[in-house]
Amino acid sequence: MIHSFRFLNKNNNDGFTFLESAVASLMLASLSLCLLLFTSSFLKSAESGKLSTQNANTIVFATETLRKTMANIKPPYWHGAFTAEILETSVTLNFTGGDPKTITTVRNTSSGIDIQCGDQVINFSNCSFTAKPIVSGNILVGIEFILKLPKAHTVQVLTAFGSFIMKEFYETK
Amino acid sequence: MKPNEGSGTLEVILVLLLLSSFISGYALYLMTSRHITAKYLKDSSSSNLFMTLGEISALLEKDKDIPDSPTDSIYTYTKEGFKVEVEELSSRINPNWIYVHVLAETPLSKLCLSAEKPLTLQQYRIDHGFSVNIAKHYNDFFTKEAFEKFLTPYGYVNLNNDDEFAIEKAIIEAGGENAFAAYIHSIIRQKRESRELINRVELEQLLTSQRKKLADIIGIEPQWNVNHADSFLITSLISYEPFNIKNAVTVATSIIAAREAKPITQIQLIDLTGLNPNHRLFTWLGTRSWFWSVTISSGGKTLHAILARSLSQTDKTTGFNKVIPITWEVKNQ
Repeated sequence: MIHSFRFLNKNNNDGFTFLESAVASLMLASLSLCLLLFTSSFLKSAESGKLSTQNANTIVFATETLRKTMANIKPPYWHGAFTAEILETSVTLNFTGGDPKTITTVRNTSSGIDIQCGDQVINFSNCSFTAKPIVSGNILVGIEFILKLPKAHTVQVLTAFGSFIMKEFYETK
Repeated sequence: MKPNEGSGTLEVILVLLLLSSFISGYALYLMTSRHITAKYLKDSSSSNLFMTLGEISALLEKDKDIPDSPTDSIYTYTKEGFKVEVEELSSRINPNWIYVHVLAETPLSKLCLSAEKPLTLQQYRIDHGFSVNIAKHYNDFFTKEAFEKFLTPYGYVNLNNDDEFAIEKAIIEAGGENAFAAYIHSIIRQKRESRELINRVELEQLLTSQRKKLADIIGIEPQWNVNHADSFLITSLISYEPFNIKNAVTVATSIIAAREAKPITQIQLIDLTGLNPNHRLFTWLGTRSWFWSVTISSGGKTLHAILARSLSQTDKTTGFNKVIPITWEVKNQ
């Protein structure tokens, strides 16, 4: 035992024996192996975590943008010229900001989801959506979007228009 | 060869410490990010605010013979954890379709920026249409006080007392055919000249072909609730000369005094004026309210909505006119 801990003795200048070096090498090797395995596993988890985080960011920003965009659809209560073309993969609406001529579109493209209000376009990459109308008492009040993200993550986003027309209205084209 | 004094072990420990702090930081970032997402998705539903709005809507639905008044419990509605404010909006002048002669030939002209404004309003509406944002759209016509206290963009089109040019345009905007809109315009002109009113049977007959498009916007219901309208509006309206109401000031005073005591019913209103029930005044003054502003605050969020009592849609169980939201907006406080 005394021999094994020889290096603790300050007066000993003889260096390490072959056995000591071998044991130290083995310890370092096993530690390195553990570290390698751990790092590999960590990198995998990190990649998965990064994907989840990217998904989380997309969910937050896409949800916020979709809700704000739909809340800006404001047909006056008396107006009959409100048109809503709600297809599974594209949505076209007029009365953006209360103006009958300003069109809002949400559509799937090869680069993700494009949300266009007038001339302004916002793109959300690596995702797509399906849409269907939300109808309450035969009045079209908003749109339900199902966002599809990488790794088959899906999120339901319920959006409402900023205002509704009084007459019973529900017509998809 | 010099002896190894443990620095290798220290280096390994240091690397492990660095790695562990890096991993902890990254894990914390992921957890926070997920937490924020979950919280965001949960909070944004604001379901409690909308549930409360639904309760208020249901309370506003009631028998048409029971007058709406400021003493109704809805104006003092309380719910634990919620702050609720309800304001009646329809017993005011709607500049989108007001009959310009009433505006020009009564004290209501004081609400305009100049004496000629009411008569130019008709052409302005033909040229520029209507708007919900009245303060901006009619900025050149009315005083600041008028916008704050006496005007509203919320009110249905009344075939018996609104401007016939505005009615024609409103019918087209609501989706009615141009020829039908022009036909209604001519009918209103004829009725005015012959001093007749459109009754419910005639209204049904008139709307038959376009009922689906127009029945929720166009009717003959009086828009001003005598229990809510500002006394200046009531007094001014009663003084309108073509109404030919003798002792107009006395009639107005008795109505205002009566409503202070208790809500006035339609029968009491007719009795108080001493007028024929078919008098044109009662196409303006009634006892029902049609639009309300509702503000509900709770949990750091505020929901502001406009509720409307539908002209034609009724609840299948109660038979009462439905009260539905026509606008809403949720804001963080």
